[in-house]
Amino acid sequence: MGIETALIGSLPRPLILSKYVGRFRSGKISEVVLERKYVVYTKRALSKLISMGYKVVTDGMFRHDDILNPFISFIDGVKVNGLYRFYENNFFFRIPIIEDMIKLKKNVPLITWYLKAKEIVSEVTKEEVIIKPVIPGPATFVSHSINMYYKDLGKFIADYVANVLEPLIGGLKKVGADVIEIHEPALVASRLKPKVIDLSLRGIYELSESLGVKIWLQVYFGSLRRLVKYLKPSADLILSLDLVESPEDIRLLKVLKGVTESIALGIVDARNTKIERFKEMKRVVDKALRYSFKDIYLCPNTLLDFLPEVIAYRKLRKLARFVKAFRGD
Amino acid sequence: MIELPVLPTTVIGSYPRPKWLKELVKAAKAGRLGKKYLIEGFNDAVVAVVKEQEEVGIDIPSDGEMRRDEMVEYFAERIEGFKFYGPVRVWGTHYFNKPVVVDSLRRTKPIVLDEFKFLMKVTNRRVVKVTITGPYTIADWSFNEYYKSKEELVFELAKIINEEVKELEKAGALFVQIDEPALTTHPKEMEWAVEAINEVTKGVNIKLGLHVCYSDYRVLAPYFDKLKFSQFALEFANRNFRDLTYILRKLGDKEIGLGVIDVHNRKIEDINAVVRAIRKALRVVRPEQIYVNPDCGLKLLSREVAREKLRVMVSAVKVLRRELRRKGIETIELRTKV
Repeated sequence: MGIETALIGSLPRPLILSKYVGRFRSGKISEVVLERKYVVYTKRALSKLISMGYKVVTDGMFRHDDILNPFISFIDGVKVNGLYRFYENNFFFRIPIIEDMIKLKKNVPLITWYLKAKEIVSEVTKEEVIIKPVIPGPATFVSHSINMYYKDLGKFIADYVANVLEPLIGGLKKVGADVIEIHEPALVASRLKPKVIDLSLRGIYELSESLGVKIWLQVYFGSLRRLVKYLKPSADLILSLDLVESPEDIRLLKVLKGVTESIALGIVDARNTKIERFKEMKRVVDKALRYSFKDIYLCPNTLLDFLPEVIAYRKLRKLARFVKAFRGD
Repeated sequence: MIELPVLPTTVIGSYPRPKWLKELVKAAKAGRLGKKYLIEGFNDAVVAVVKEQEEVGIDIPSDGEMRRDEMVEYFAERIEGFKFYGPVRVWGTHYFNKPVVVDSLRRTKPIVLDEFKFLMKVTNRRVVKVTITGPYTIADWSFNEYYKSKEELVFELAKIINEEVKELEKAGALFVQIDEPALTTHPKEMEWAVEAINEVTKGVNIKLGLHVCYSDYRVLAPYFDKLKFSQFALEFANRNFRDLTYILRKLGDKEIGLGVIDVHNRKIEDINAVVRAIRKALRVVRPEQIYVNPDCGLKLLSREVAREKLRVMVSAVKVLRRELRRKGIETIELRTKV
């Protein structure tokens, strides 16, 4: 049984990098210059994380404004519209309007971005580090869209899985991405019809099986309780829980042991600046150890965009120190 | 008794900063400009934007919030007990300095009193609007490291804001608007949040408005009666006036600050569309219950666009005032009673 630290979703994008993004969008700097900046800041962030001991990371999502953008601009049939609140946070995303049948565009840069992140990691360390591309899941995509095209929600989900996720994840798998992080806050935080939950999860399982990838299913802002009855045993599913928002979900581990060998525990509060204490973290890990999972990952409960950069790193460092101390490294 | 023309026109609060002021602020932040010159710049900017509002015919101007970078940050910087760790993203490439409560909160000096006093010096209007970010929104958009609960923090902030409003009243302010864009974001907290916001109104006898925008008004509407404010300034243009009739029917005897100008769209409104929107409201409530304003602060627009949008809004109101005059309705009383 291994205990590891993991980064999920985003790191806070440095303000200075956002200024470069703004300057690029207003035509003041070229794409080449912006790309150089992305590489510099991503390398800086990943170096920090890897030196802390993180072996499972994302690229920090510095190229993203939120979990849906610019991703949705790579899908035919989607128009990018105005700002909408992301759950109850003072954080907004540009909402997709579905105007036609959705389909992933050709030559989307997401695969190149993944390769660049891999290259950066190999420059930073010789050790094995897993980088997870981050993609919004079916339930989250459909429930955060204004649907003007699909009459049947089932067809909407099916098209997203078959025409968007499958070619994208297939492409990522081909270039070496074995673990894909699928963000599904909607599964636990939105009021979804059972049909949407069922079809979305079924789509995720099918992708995992047909493409041979591990899916890191990331939920946040709610309890996993309502999903339990839809989950089925799979060695390729890593379930990542938000134990800050729903600490009671720790009691679900007994049941979850029956469906997954690997569990991720979101114990770092990414929406509060208070630094977690060893004692609190240990209490959760001790409980998790009772169930003999093959892997236990400890991570933030949600995107780190909600925190100032300095606090986010302080929290990540503390988590890494805790894991080292716990393992006796 | 203070009278206003029927369908008084007003702003929500912020107005675009003149480009030169933005440069001054930048220079001051970089240490290239002294505080004295920055204050002079702020004052000059207030004169400019107040005149601009008066010139287009706004009955109740504000100082355009020229001195405020951000609506929560500004108050947190002036209340003891807050600290800043750095910027946090709100969307895309936009950030704000999200405050952190690290100690017991204290109001050691007035927060917006000087803004009001300066505004009164430079305006030719009797009634102006002073805006204050509400306790719930300040708390919701801050990190809390000190108080046991968010509820405790909100009540503490409400006390501080109540002191500020009382001081404004003493100085002659007639209309204060409390801005609470976050109010409906956690529906489960509405009961105590409303109680806390009402703390702001305790012992106050001037006009108090409550501004809530980009929110679920079906969560807010059941509390209209309970909220001790005589006016609710709400955003409707952005949502194509959806829910307007429903909201107005729930309004009872209170006033609506009717948002008829979309502040997130550079396109200037068609005057007839604005007239139609106000008419729609007039079919449900009495003319005496309606103030006309943009959806929200204008600061994200260019100055030219903001001015033109206000001009259209005032022109639309004039059309309706002519009709109301024929019915003998020309003025309304500045209402303070809830």
